[in-house]
Amino acid sequence: MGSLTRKLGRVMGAPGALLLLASMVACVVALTLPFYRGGMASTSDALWRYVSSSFLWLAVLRSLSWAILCSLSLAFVAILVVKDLRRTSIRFGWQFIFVASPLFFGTVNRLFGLVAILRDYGPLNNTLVSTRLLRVPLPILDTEWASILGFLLLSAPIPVGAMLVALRDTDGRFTRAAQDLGASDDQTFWLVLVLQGERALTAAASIVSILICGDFLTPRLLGGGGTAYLATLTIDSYLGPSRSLTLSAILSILLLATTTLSVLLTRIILRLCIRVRAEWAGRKDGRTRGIRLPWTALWLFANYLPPLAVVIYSFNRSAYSVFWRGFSWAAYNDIFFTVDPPERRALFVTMIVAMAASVLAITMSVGLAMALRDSSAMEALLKIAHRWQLLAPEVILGIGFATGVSVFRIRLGLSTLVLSHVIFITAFDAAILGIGLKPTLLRLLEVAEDLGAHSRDLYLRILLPLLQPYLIAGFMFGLLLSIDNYVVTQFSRGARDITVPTLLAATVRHGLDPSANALATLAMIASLTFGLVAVRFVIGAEAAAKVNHWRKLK
Amino acid sequence: MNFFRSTTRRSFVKGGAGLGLVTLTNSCFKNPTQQTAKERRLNLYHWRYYTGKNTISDFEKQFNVRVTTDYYASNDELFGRLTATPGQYDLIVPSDYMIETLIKNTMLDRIDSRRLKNLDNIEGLFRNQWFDPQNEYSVPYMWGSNGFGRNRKLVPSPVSDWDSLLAEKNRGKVGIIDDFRFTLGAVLKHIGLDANSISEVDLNKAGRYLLGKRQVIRTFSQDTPKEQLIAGDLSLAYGAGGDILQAAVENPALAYDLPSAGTIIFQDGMCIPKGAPNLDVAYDFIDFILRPEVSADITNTVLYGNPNHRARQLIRPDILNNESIFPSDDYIKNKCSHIHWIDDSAKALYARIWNEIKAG
Repeated sequence: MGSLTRKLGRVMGAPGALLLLASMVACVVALTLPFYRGGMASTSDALWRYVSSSFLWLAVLRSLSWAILCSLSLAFVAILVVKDLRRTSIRFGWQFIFVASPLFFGTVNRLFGLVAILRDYGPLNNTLVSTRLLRVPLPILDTEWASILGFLLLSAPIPVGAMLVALRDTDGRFTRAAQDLGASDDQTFWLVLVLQGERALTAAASIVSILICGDFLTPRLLGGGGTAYLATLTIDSYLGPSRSLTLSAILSILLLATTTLSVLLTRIILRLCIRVRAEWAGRKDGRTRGIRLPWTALWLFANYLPPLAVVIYSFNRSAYSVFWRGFSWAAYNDIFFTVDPPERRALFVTMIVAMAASVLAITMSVGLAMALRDSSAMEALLKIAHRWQLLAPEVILGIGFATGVSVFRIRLGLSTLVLSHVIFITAFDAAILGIGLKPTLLRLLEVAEDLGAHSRDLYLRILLPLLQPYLIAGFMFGLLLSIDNYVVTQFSRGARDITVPTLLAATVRHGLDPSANALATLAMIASLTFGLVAVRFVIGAEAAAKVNHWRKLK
Repeated sequence: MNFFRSTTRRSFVKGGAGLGLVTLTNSCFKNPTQQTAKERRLNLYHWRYYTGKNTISDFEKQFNVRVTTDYYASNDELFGRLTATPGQYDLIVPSDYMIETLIKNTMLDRIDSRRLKNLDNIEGLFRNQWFDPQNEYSVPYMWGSNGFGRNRKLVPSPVSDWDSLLAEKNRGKVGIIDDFRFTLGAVLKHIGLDANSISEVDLNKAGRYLLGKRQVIRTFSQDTPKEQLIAGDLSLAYGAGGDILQAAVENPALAYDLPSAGTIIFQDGMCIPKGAPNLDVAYDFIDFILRPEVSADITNTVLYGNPNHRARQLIRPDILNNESIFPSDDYIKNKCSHIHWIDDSAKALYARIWNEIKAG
């Protein structure tokens, strides 16, 4: 790395780096405080027996194995889906929207959509029974299989999106060269494209692994609560009936270790699998053997079905999303035309926070991603803080944030809410941009620096244009994380800042009514519109102009 | 040059988009009450769907107040949020054992009963309870019981105790709430022990009772499994009475039975957290809720029990005469128990036994 590039990373990355370091310090303090406060004596006999009981370690094993298995299978399905998508003539932007939009309906609502579909007397079982494929309805709901289905569906779009972005960034000339040299389609795909997208795919699989390890909603809403996962036990020890600071600190450390282990294993196994598959593609003579399932069709169907249920039930006349009682606009009418309904306030706060946080985070993370590439003692510390931020359980991040803020006697409100979102989004954004900072790009920066380029040119004419797909992906992912966040939000919002996920969490007790579904639909429309407008006019147009300019120079 | 031109264009686009958005949202979200200069506010922290349809808006109109309501999903979430945001909420409505916890942690303001004109409307049975012996910190809001929801089409005869709820013939059709205090407490009562016992011997007995019938239970639901009862996925459930009765409005086949041997009841109270910014309005709100017509309207909507004796004549007769919503005073006094506060090691004990039951 050239000195100018390094300086650029340090200056531009400083705010993000400071936030990450501060967050880590606060979290570590919050995590160790319970042990100091009561002394180790507070870890009583009952606590010790809880920690050493078999259900806890079974839960650890379960979280670990399902996180690894689900993220691996999603990564492989993503490769197949992307392979099909690249054959179509749909533009990249539309492909990306098509893949990512189910995510924007929010976790709670997508899970409820799935519940509505999977019920014993729901549409899926009714279809299966009426077509005589089954004699009695299959009780899928409230079993472990339902949780796994939930894990898979919730994060299915993430690896596909990552792969699409990475493949857009590859040089088409390699593909053409391979084809000219007589490689089959399959060989070109696996040996040229997939290997180039491998970094993005492993990163996406790691993110999925992190999300599944921390997911406490799916086992509760779909799995019937009968099987313990480490995340459900941990969240219960903070916000549930077993609320106890010492127990929650112990469980959080365990969850942190489990998440780390699952990410490490996922990365190793995925790399190995891709290598083996590519090797295999290279060896055989081009024909694809075996049964080809219509993966893409299946994938799209499964991903769009729960959001479809959400939209349909938002027009239901009933107060519950169980039976269809006729078409009604009432839910939308309530949100738009009554005086101060909580749904409208939640939508408003959520959108303001998501917009501010995702814009700030993506701005800060370009420099941060550069700084993370550096190699010095300070950067090593920064790397630890970054990984900590990615891997630590959300509750720890939330408690750490609340602790840190209370030291400075700052009142929780809209600004602290935005700040907390900026911190955790920045970590993910920096990880995504890190995929884009390939050795060739860093070399390019070095060369430009040697040729006397100004740091402004390095940043605006080389870095931003070449990172464009990753900027878009990071920005959209940040938007998504913000509108969907529940746990950190609970520790950083003020009394008046009610957001969509916090409102939905309180509504689940009653059962999701049409207004909750309407809320999810509106949140999806608003965030996707904002995301696309921002991408199109701010990041997209600018970066595209820069690319053209750069190409002309070349 | 290109750089400058592009930055201006970018900032223009950014600024333009921002401006457009602000005006758009302002025009969409403008509120008629927002303009009044010195308006009175109330930051209410409440359960979702736990008031009448117009309770809040009537209060806003009559007292010229703007109420901002935030919602919690559980008592423990309320506790966590309250410690994180001191001095922001004006009024909260926790349940009995949480009121006890909040008092222990000195997080509540003393309530000046002289400022409440309608306090006498509260029935004696619900006053001066163990969690707040002099009613210094809380004013009763509503109360309810935990009992059995039953789909009459699938299970015709009433369920009167845990044995018949968890009978082998109901295998895979029963849901219970995933709250070890409410559930283990009720089982402890069923096998003749103290519902608040923290002795390991007692809890192991309750654990063994449930473990033997683990396969009958299909769902450990976070809250009363209303939607699954309505849909017919479950034919029986153990949960909060009001919730089950609300579900019965949607699916008339549902009924609510109380265990004949007694059950766990809860009483929610209105409390003022320490440092509440709008103390006067909070008192106005409590007094407003104590009005018979307001209180009766809440019960008519949420179908929970009412501690306000002057409200009784305004409650719909079908609700008032429903034995499971308003059981006899004798049943409440002699057969029902509340959940009490327990310490961390007792919680760990409960949590371990509960999770061992769930693991089967």
